Amino acid sequence: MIFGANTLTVLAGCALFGALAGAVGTFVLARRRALVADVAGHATLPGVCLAFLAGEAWGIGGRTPWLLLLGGAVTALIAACCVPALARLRRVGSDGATAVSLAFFFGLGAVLISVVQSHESGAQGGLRKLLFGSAAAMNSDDVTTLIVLTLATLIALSVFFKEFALLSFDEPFARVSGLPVRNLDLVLTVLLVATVVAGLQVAGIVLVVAMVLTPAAAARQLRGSLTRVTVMASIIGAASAAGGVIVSSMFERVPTGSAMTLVATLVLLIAMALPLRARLAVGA
Amino acid sequence: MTALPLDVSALSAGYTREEMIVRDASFSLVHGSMTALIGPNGAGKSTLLKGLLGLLPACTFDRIAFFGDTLDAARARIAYIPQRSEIDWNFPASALDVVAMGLYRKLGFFRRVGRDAKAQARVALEQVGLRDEAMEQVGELSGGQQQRVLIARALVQNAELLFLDEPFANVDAFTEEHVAGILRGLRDQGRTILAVHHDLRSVRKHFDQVMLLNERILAQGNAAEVMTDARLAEAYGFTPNSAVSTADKAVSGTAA
Repeated sequence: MIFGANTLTVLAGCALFGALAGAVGTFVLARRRALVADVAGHATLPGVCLAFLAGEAWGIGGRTPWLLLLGGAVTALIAACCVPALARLRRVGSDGATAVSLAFFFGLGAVLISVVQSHESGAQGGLRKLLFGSAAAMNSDDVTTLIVLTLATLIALSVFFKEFALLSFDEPFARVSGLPVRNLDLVLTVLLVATVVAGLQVAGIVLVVAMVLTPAAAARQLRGSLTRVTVMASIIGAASAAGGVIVSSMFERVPTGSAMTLVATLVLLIAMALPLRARLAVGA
Repeated sequence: MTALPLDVSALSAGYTREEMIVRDASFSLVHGSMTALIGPNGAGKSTLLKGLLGLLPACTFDRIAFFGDTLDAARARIAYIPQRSEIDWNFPASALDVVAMGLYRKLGFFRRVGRDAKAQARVALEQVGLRDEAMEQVGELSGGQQQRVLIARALVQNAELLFLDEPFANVDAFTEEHVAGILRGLRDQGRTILAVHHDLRSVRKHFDQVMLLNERILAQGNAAEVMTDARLAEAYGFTPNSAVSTADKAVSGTAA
């Protein structure tokens, strides 16, 4: 294995990210925001490219981790907020709005990445690796950024745990009891974007959504309370992420994001194939 | 004199301002009454409930007062039980978890559901006859049991004014009787209930008050007064059989 930073640290950071993605994914699925997660992932591309160009222009280096992630977060958040706004237009609907938003932002990113590549240091910057993820390319700054962002998001998620639960289960009731539904949805979107951005290096722009949704979908096959399902999703996420890092380090040309996605999907298939009694046993 | 639980004047509600579904509805509910909101499909029964609870994008009114107060000031005294179909029953939660949701408002942000809250939820489940189902997944309960879980959630809220949207939809006759009994018990404790109801045959059995709606409120009063052939024909566009209305000779004779 050849890693830019300490192998164990990278592995731990990725596993932590997997745990966060699983937990956030549980709520994203429950609130039926899976496609918004897909939009957010793809829409980081233009932001990352713009941040790279800005970093070069300001002379702080295009590949400054926090700047890239901030750029990605800004465009992802804008795109995620575009979906409900577009969906409110007549004759578009939320599925149409989702597709339009995803295509526009990813298309914009594709244009910008060619600009970045024509930049002198762009090719060395390895922005292309962000598409499918590359844990091996992470340096210690990347790992630190990943861990800090992940822990902060996990804490925020635990603060609003019960409000998100109520909102996902019964929105009309939540509204009548006076929960600030709109703001809570915004918080969930921000947490989703933070998760997506945290996982960019590891899982990549295109596949980070899989790490958010697949472990959560696998955990939903088991029974139990929301707490239990969330914990199971975190465990599956952490295991898939770590498994993906290990697989991609053994086969150098396999991107980390792809390897993680395949591992997580395998877990989902196993969970779906489990006989009901086994699912009950794990859940109860 | 204490303020009425609900006093509404000139409420219009819908999904866009151009197409209001409910128009100019004025009515009030008195303490300890149990009112059925009836009317044909598309009359705006659910829309009326949602409109007065602030759940619709388009809504105008002269006055909506809950216990003489605004909705925001009265939220703690109100429980809303949506149609069962509006709820995600695949959600990973036990019956107890769902009932405890009725206490979230009281708990506020940052506080977890503790032993106290769970004990309260258990008591409420017992009251609706679901003591043994407390730890069942809500998705695996029958329709009638799910309805009772939602009523138990309103019980832990200790709400004085309950709005129910089609509480008897898709439940068998035995369950309907059971749920109606629970609601009558709540009314007898002095709580006020407004329920959307679609089955004309059972209105008079379950409810003492009736509100007849077809975009506008056509009549409100006690069941015998409202459910006449003429009024039902006006609302539904046909004359229901006389078992439904109060116009058959014997009944109208005694009612008058």
